[in-house]
Formats: sequence, structure tokens, C-alpha cells
Amino acid sequence: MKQAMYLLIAVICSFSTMNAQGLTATGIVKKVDENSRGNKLYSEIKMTIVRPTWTREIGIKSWSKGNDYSLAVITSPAKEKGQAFLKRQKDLWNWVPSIGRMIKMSSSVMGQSWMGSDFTNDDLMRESSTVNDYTHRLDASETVREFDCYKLTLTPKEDAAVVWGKVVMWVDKKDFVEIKTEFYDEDGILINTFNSFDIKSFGKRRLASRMEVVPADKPNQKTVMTVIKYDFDTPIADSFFSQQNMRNRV
Amino acid sequence: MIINLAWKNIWRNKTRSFVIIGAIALGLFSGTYLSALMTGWVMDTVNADIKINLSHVQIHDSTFLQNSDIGAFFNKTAVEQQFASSNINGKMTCRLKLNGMLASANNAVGVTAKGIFKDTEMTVSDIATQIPDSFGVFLPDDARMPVVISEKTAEKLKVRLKSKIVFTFSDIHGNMQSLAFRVSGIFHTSNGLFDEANVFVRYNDIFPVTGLPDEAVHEAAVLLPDIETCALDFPKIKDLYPQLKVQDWKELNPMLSMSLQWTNLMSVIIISIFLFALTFGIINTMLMAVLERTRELGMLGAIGMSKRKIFSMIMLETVFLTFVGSIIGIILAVALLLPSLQNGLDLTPLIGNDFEDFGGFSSIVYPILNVEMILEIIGLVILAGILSAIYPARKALKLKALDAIRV
Repeated sequence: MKQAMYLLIAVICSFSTMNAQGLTATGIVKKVDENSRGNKLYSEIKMTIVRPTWTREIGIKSWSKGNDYSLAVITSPAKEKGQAFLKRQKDLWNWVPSIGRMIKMSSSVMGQSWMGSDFTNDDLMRESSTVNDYTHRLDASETVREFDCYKLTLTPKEDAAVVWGKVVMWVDKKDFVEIKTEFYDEDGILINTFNSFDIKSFGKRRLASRMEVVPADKPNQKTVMTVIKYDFDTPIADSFFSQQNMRNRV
Repeated sequence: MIINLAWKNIWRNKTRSFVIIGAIALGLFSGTYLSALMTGWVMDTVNADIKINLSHVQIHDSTFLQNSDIGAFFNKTAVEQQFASSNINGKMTCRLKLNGMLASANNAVGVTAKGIFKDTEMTVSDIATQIPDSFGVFLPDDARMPVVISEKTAEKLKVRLKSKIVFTFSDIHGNMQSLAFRVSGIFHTSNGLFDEANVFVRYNDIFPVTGLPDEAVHEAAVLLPDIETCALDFPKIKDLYPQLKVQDWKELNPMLSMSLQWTNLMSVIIISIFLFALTFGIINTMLMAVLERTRELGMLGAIGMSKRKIFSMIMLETVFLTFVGSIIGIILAVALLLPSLQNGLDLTPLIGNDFEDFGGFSSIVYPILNVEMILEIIGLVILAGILSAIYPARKALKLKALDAIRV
């Protein structure tokens, strides 16, 4: 009798943490995270900075391995060509070929804009993880543009070093891609919106090939990232992410 | 007898005497008023900066000042014990100083976070009293990870009380560390630069992630009873810590101590210029008084008044004129200053609040009346009177009695 009751409690518990499709809010966020990060990645990206009176395109080649290592090199325009950014664990380095110097980026520049875009250096370095630093709640199913999505609300844990008050995320049910994410401050005011478009197959994965960041309080301003190439299959050694390598990778 | 005569002579031509007394009074009045105002302004700034920012003496590791390196620390207990056993009458508090970035959802600014011990900090620094009512409290003990930021920083980050902000800095190993704090208080001092650069957190909240050894601090601040004792005790404190860099407020903010000396010099210069101009007025008036009275002075000589007595009579007339003028001027200045000694003089309509932005000059001035200074001024005025009377008095001496009568 007693055993049967324990069994019953266990069964009820396991059911209550799942929704109809057998996925918890945290499970969905984990899947999105795994899907988008991957382990080894080479990418070529075109970044378009849109401002009210001008636009500007920057070509970027980047390599990354897990969360700890990444290397990004600017390939165009000619003025910025050869600039490189290296992230090794918690350090960020910047190679500026025009002055022939390696700059270690300190915590005080983390808030500044990266290459004039709507990303800050901090966004690129961010240690916070959508999985560990937030509590997740599955709100509803909603259709965003043509995608059938889960709507999730992420609230940062009290001690997490996260500046947002809450994050609302719409995740495609089929491919587990973030279709739209809204970042709010603690007063519930929208700060940034992240949108993804054009989901395509890259190798075995399906990922968005165009993404944009739209700051809420700056009209007619956004940054668009267009993926030209993704490569998940070529292995990269840890030693690839070195200062020597960032100087001559263009 | 001569004194009586001299005093009566002044009032023979009332208009002329009143004009010169008025000129002296006006000059002295503005001189005293201005210098009291200027000294007050600078002393306010000095005291505020000492009470909030500098303290009287600061102690650092000798390499800390070059680049605020997190590794330039010293042991808190050792320094505090040495200070306690030295019999210097003063209070000491220790702080961590960490440079990093403070970020909200809206913005990010570079700041220095001071990790403080609340108990001792409040005996040394007035920062806790710089939080206006309804702008929270200074790091309450029961709060989780509180931080106190300035009004300027709060505006930049667009945060309010209870908002969460993230502080990112490099620890001793060069690794980035991020901590989430909640705003517990928002302060406002008259020093805009200080406000922009500093935030306050509890030592125990931030210390564990710095990777520093136990009891490590970057700064010890000492508050002594006043500036005068600081001058005496500073060398003693310096001798206590030969291995550390010990600096007094003058070294910490050379501009401030220079402006204090500069103001004193300026007061003297301004009053000297007033007096120099007045000297010509006095010479002119006394010369007229002498030339006008040629016949009379000749008569005095003819009936046997000695040259010395004539000379001292003219001298006394001048001294009386200047003395009366300066007393009236100083009484006027003191009368006008008295109400503002307590409540201060609000210069905001004249100069706005702009001075706060460079280095803490408040727009409300509490003038300082210095009795010593007033006595000095009176002395200077009488000296000027005597000097300027020499020429007219010599003129009077040169008169030949018989020639003078015949005029």
C-alpha cells in the first residue's frame, strides 16, 4: 500500500513538470541553447548596421569552440580589415593592425558598442547563460510571423549577474530556433528586440540565417546579421585560438 | 590737546571729510565682504572634500596610485593595530577600491567601487549623510547585496531605488567577475566628479570574489579633529608606515590646497589695491586741507606751536579720517554678513550649479569672518593713512611762519 502511494506520487510529479508534448520550459531553453551554440563552428557573417541617415556593412569571419574560445576577424570594409577579436575563457583581446597593437579589453570598455553596432562588447563576452541564470516559465503557444512558437518568460535569478528584468522568448516548435526575443528592464520597459528570419539547413542543423537586434528607444536603428556560411564539421584545436593566429587571419 | 584739535579740524569741512570717510568705508566694506565670501567658499569646498572624499590622511600601497592595481593591497589588521597603538587622536577606516563597469539594462558606466566597513566608514566619512530623504539608506545591514550610487550615475543607468545593477571587474587573477547588486541609496554631493566616479558596497559582499588574501584592503583613510591637527599629526602617521605611501589631503588634492592659499593671497591683493587707490584720495584731501589753511598754520607757528606738534596734528587728522572710515566699512560688512554666516548665501541665481561639475564648488556659500583678518585690515588701513599723510604734513612743516601769515 505504502509502496503504491510512493509510486503514485512519483508518477504525478514527473507528469506535472512536463507539458503535453513532454517538454518543460527549461527543457526547451536547453534545446535552443544546444542547437544554437554547437561545439565547433566556423562562420562567415555580414553585419549591417542601420542608422537613420546611413547604413554600413561589415564582413566577419569567425571561429568558435564551445563557450570558452572564439576568434573573429573583420574582412571588410578595407579600413577595418584585419582587426581581430579573441576570446579565451574570460579574457577578450583586440588586435588593431593599423597601429600594430594587441589590446586587452578591460571591464570598463565592456559596455561600449562593438564595431559601432547595437551589440556591446559585453554581449559578445556575456557569461550569463539562458539555462542557468534564469527561471523559465512556459506561457502559451503563439504564432510569430509564419512560425508556430512556444512563448517562454525567463526571469533572472536573484543573484545572477544579469541586467535584464525579464526576457520573453518565442521558440519555433519544429526547429527549436529563437524566433523573437524581447529584453525588458526591471521596470518592464522594452530595451531590445531580437528577431530571426529565414530558417535554413546548415549540415544537420536548422538555424536562422538572418538575425536582427532592434533597440527600442532608438527609432530607425538596428543591426542585422546575415549568415553567408556555417561549418560545423571541421575540427578546430584549442591552440588555434592564439594571439599569433589572430594577427594573420584575414 | 593736539588730539582734540585734530578731531575738531576734521569736522570743519564736513562734506569733504564725509566724502573721504565714505570712500574708505566703501573700499573696506567690499574688501572685507569679498574676502569673507571667498574664504568661506574655498573653506566649504576644502571641508566638504575632506569629509566626503579625501579625509585628512590616506594610506595606500606605494604602487596603488600609479594604476589602481587590484594587487596593490595591504593587511587591514596590521595597519589598524599600528594606528591604535600610536596615541594619535583620530579615526581610521579601510576600504577596497575596485575599478570596473556598472551596468543596467539601459546603459553601462565605468566606476570605482569602494568596499567599505560601515561602522568605521561612518566615523570617518560623511557620505552616509549625503543621501537625501526618500532616497534610501546607506547600505542597511539586513539588505542583500546593497549598493549606494550617486544621483548622476542613477540618471545615466536609468535606475531607481531597489533596481538591480551588475558590477563587472577583473579579480586578482585577471578573470572577469560579475556581481548583481540592488540600489539601496542614492547620494548627491557638491562634487560632480566624485559623484560620477564612486559607488559604495559592503566589503564583505565584494571581497569573496576578488581572490585577495584575507584582510586585504587598498586604502586606509584617517580623519583627525581638524586641519590644524592634521598638519601636526601627518608626519607622525607617515613615520608609522614607512613601507606604505601616506599622503595628506594637500598631496591628495594639490589643486584644493593651492586654491586655499591662493584665496588668502587674493584677499590681501584685493585689499591692497583698494588701499593703494585710497592713498591717492587721502593725499589729495589732506593736501587740500593743508594748503587751504596756510594762514592758520602760519599763525599757529607764529604763536609758538612747535613743528613737531603741527606735524602730529596733521598726522592725527589723517589717522582719524581713515580710522572712522574703516570702522564704518567693517561694521557695515559684518552687519551684512551676519545673517548669511548661519544660513549661507545662495549664489545659484547668479552662477547656477555649474561649478559642482568641476570639483565640488557648492553654489551655497557660508562666509567666514576672521577676526584676525579684520584686525590686519584695520592695521593696514591705518598704516596707509599714516604713509599718505607724510607728504601733506611735510608741506605744512615747510611753511615759513611769517610768509604764511602774509598770504
